[in-house]
Amino acid sequence: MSTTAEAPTFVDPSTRLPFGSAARLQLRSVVPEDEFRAVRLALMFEFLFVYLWWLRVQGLPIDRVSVAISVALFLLCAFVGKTWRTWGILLLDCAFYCVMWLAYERTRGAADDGVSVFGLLQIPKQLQVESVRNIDRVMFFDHDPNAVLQDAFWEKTVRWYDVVASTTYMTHFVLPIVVMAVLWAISHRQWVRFMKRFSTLLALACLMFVILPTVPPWMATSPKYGYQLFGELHRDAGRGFRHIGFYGFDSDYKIQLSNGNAYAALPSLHSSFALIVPAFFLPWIRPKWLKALVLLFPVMMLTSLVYLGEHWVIDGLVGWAITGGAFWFWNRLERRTRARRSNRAREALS
Amino acid sequence: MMDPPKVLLERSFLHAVADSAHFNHQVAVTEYLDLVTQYEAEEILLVAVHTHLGELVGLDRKHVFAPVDRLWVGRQHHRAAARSLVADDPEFAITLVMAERHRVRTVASFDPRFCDYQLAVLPAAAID
Repeated sequence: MSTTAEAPTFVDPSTRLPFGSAARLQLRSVVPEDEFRAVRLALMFEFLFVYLWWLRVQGLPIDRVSVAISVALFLLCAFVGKTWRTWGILLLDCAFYCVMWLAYERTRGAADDGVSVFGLLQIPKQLQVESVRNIDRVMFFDHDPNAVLQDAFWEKTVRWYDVVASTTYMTHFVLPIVVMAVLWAISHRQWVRFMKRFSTLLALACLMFVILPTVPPWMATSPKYGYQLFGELHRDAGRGFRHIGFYGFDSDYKIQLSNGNAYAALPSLHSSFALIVPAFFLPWIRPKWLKALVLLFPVMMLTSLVYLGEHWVIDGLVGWAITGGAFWFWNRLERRTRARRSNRAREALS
Repeated sequence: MMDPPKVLLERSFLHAVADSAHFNHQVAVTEYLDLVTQYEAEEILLVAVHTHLGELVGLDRKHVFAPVDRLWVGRQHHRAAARSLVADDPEFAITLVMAERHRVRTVASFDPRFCDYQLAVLPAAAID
């Protein structure tokens, strides 16, 4: 390959000062600093302060619109003074994010009415009720883990482990969103890596919600729904959280916009999200004991879900398997992409 | 912070790699291939100022600089370059601005002026 006549050539490496020499100038002494950097930092701290105040006074935002508004406000703070191109990319990212959540919301209708594939194939509504319970019973030697845990631990008064289980449960509504928002602000490359895995997991989960709508344990034991597979489970996932003075904040928009899919039990997104966050950050965590500690979080989440009657054990295991699959797929694809690009460079120079 | 360290391929280095008749072509290619190996192992990221890369290759990733990501220069970067202490050389200034904004600590270049800054300058052999 040949370049233009004005291609620069430079000289005399002997004039170079050693790296780290005191005589070397810092870039900031020559180039004006980004004047918005301090503004962004100040705004992000202010946002954090307001968010914590809101959490204490109004509650943890858990409905989709409130969460989206809080993320949008954070991003406004984090992107002040960035280039128009960066803003354009952010808008595209946000559009992708919204499409992803809308796809999840749409599975509600499919779970209720069945699915028609281009009018050619009709997948009827086939709720899974006993099958998932039977799998759990096989794994736990003819015991129902939900019932066993509630029989052993659920009391009228809130105990410390209720607080732990409930708080762990509630992190689902904030942890992945916080991670996304922070990654958005500090490294778009890492945000893209996270979202590839996250959206793959969500897409597979949505597909399963449509094909295998599954009744959660609290519903499968409730006389209100007519299943009553075994003794009715207590259902109050937020009671431990309320006990320590916190609430879930959801506004009225949920009536119009947030139709949570009650049959979205298999796979458990609570379990999947609780694994995807520590699994993503694992390469940056050095001490092995700390790696093991953060991997306890998904275990704690699944135990809480089973205790609170929100999910079957198999829901959580399938959620973990899908999360693992998403990591395996994207790690492999990213490695291959790097190899392909590297080989192109080598071939062009050979 | 979370990304592997970035190595900025400066304009003189890009031209030396791309032009087989260039005085420093062999040194540049040897260094570049070494950097590509590190990129493949995800030890570093390769970046270049988008206007500098645009002088040599298109937007696709089917060329010698396929592993190199573009640092897109906006108007605010040009304004910062114009206000810098090296504004008399806009290309040099814009490279310094992009290196500062993207926290680049290593530059591949044959321009000795980069050695005046707190940057590791490659090719290492040429520095010695």
